[in-house]
Amino acid sequence: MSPLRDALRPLVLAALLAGVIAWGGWQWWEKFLGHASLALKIGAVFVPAGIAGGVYWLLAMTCKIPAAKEMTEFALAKFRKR
Amino acid sequence: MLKASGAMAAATLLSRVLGLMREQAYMFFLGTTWVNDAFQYAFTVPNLFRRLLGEGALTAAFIPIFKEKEKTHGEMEMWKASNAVISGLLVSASVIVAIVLVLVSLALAFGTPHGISQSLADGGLHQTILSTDTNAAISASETVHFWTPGQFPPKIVLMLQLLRVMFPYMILVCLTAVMMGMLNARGHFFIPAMGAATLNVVMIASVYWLAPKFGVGLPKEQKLPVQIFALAYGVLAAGVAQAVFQLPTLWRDGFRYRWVSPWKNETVRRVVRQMVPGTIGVAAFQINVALVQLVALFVGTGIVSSFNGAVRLMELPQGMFGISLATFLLPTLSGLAADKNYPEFRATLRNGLASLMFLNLLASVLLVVLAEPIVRLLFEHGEKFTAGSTARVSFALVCLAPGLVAFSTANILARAFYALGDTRTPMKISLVCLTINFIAACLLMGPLREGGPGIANTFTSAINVGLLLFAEKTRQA
Repeated sequence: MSPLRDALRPLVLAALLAGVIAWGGWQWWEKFLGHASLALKIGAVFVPAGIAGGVYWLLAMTCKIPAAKEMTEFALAKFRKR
Repeated sequence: MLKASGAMAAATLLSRVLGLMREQAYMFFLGTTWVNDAFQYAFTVPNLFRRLLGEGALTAAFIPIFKEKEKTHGEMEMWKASNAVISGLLVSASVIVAIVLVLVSLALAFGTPHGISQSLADGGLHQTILSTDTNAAISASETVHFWTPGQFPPKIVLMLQLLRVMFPYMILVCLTAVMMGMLNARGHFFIPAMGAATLNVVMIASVYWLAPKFGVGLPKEQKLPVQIFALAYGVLAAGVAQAVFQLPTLWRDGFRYRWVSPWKNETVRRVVRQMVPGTIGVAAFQINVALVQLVALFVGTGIVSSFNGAVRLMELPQGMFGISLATFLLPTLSGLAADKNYPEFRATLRNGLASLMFLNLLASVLLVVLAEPIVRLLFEHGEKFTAGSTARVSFALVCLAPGLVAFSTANILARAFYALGDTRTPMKISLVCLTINFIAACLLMGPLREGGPGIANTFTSAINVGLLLFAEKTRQA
């Protein structure tokens, strides 16, 4: 299980950074846009989550996490097939 | 691995999204009221069997044996073995259901306050005591001594009545679990996963179509405790729909049900031997939830429904990545263990865990950080689910979501032990964790209310993973 442990450290750091980004994004959204309509409620969740997810994925790819690489290749293969 | 579990993950995602829609419908209809507390707990009990069997021990025990029969004895013996298991299951599940129904009826006869009819038909119960506006009555009744005859709080009376309606769901769910296991072992992952989607569609229909037909003519505040029975009948109908959904694919594969006596049947004995410890091993989380919610039912109003809402939200990523991968991994690891291909076994397990951690780590962080907007988006609709309800459910989610990675990892590690034919180690570890969880949840529930069970579950799951990894290391050494 040691390869798994090695991959876990950068992943945890990347997840923490993603968490900070998501929290900051949500705070910004609440301050400037609020959640008065359904569209704003959807945005308050998916915009910060999308940005944070993207950063997490990029960091994982940069750190050469095998699971990130494998999933990206899997997704790209599906995309190319279509 | 990704490809095979990907199709299933897509179906599971659909089913989880529908599950979330079902939860939205329930929250819209019930809010975090005491009626919802009673319904959620009554549903937790048969639902526990679904989790234990459908996503856990029965399939975990049955698939390796089914697969082995196919390889060593051929298809004829394989179908015969499954018929024996189904026959045994029908008999034992029916006996359990009959016993529970008798016990619940006795409890109702003992504890129902005098002057309140237990009959659903006469409607007396709902018209005299059970109204959503009787908050003072509920609070007062919660202080009444529970063990005094005729002194059960209305919440408990309603919960028992709902349990009596919903418990037969267990027979259907056991049957479905075996059929899903058979389909998984035959390489079908999409159809069984879609069965759960059918289940949710029927349950949602019971909220919007069946419930308005109940309690017609009653005052608004007295309707809910009557209409809740529509949701209970919906659960039963959903169980039938899910079981029937599996049949055409099994039929095409050559399965025909015939009664095969389960008594002294070698396959049935093996499944039971493997299943009993596995039931505790795989489903520690589910047993935790049921036990803790039982305590929560007595601690205060709204704890069960708030915590349940959080659990449902966490189940979305857990079901999508964790359960799909675990369901796919079991037959794969079983096959590798049967061939004694241990290097490949370890590599597959490592690969599975890596993919799971990669996805669930992000999901866990996002659920914690964005708990409030997620709950607001999904549940805050209508009159019954207020901003206060959002605060309570999101607090429960913040406490529960950090454990997501550990919950899913424990599930996969336990299955690795099962694939190696070792069901005892995960069971022993789970028993230790169950005890810790129960004590921690009871201690934390007083000061933290719905947050207490979440923190206890997170803490216990981390211990569970640590102990399973330690046991795996010892086993390797």
